[in-house]
Amino acid sequence: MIEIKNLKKSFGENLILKGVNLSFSEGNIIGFVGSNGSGKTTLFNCISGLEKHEGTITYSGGKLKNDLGFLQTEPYILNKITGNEYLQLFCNSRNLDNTDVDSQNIFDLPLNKFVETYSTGMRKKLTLTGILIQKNKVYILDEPFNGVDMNGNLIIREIIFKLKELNRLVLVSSHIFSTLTDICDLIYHVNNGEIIKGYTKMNFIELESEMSNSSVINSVSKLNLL
Amino acid sequence: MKYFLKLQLTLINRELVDFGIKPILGYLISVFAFIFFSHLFFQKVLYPEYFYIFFSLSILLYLNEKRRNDFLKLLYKNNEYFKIRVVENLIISLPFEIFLLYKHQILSVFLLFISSILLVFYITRNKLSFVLPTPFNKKPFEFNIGFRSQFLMIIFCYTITFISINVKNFNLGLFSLFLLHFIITIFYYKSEEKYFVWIFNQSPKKFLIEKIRTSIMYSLILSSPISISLIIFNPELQLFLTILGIQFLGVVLIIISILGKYSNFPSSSNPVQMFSIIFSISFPPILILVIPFLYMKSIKKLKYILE
Repeated sequence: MIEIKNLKKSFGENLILKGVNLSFSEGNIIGFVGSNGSGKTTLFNCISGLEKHEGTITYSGGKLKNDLGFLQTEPYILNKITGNEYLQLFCNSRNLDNTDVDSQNIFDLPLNKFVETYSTGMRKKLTLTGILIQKNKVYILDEPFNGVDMNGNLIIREIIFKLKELNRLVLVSSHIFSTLTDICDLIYHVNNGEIIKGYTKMNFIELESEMSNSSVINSVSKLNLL
Repeated sequence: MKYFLKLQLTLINRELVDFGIKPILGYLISVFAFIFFSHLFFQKVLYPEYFYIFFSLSILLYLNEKRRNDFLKLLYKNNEYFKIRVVENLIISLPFEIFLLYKHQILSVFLLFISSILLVFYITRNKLSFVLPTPFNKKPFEFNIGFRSQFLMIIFCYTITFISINVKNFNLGLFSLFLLHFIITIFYYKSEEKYFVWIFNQSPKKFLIEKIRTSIMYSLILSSPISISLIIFNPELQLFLTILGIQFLGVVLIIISILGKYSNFPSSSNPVQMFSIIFSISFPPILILVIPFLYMKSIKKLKYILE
């Protein structure tokens, strides 16, 4: 469905992605883990087409961005726009006429209020609702659980499972390891702009111990806490 | 405090560089523009010193935004915070005070000086809970945001029209129509985040045409109370033709504003857009060259995001 070959991205002289090769097929939930700054968000931005890059990304369904819903880590919010109008903008962007956005308010958001008054979690829920209304075939969810309340997290989990059932492809990143292992079919470990390894459900425990061994103990000892 | 103020200067310099000019040149232009417009203001406006003080204080209000002040309060001790805020306000009001002094308005200088210090204690909240309804909900974006941000200015335009009809000075009404169209072009001045262009599954050409079509439709809705009432209260052919001319000019301004914005997308500040508008108003025949040039440039800039 999506084939990524030798994807490279640099900002100035700083090489962020160092030749990523991946392929994804529909009906899968693919997870990405890695420390902050490892390159996950840049990878997602390149796949979406928001960032120029080297290498190729091919999609069997035609133009990928027209089938892609992208939930960014910190969704950018427009001032003086209500939740209703924000969702209407998402409908207009895909020429969806006569969509009743109120009936699709799965998170019970106050859609008649300005989006700028929403909390971080509410903004995330709103943008997620927007990309779901668009009925995309591929979803990129960059840290969808971050800042969202417990009930919201459960709903997001169910949404992801439903998308898999509908044969959609979901790429998701999270720093909450247990959530990823619960929902993903495959998890890639990203480190320093490279895909270290892909882990199937059977090897998730191995991935967890590898990640904690490499970072936690050494990092805390550096702090010199008295 | 010193470091914070130095940082502010660095930020202004970066803004100027982003705008496409060297900081030193930016400061020179600002000084000349300030002197020129201040002179013009004092020549054209009745009781200019009061409006001048009001204008200066309204600029200072931008620094009183709650989140900005909360951040400073968290960062600095109380007395240091107040010192920073007072110094900021005094620096910004200083050019206005110098010009007032030059105009021998000693009392106004004193008033502005005291007000700028007192204003430190007034914190504005930018999160308004009141949602002003708009007639632009079918295609919500620039017009909803612009209408709500510039609401007072729009009401001001409508009020001038009302006064112009009352005193039978229809030239004043025509001026309010032109002013309204100029305000509408401001709706399109700032570039949106890349994401809000990226979500559209349209070609650059269709995207631009759709933007222009929506803006023309909505600008006609917004200006119709002025043009219709002027025609009703003075049904003369000459006035009708002048209104048509201003409406046409308004449409052209919006087209340039939209094309100008996307010709330098996703950069947030756009000298091309500003200069295109100024040149086009002062010498309209240049539009034959400006519009196709900006259109081609916009298509090129939008291609990498939309295709």
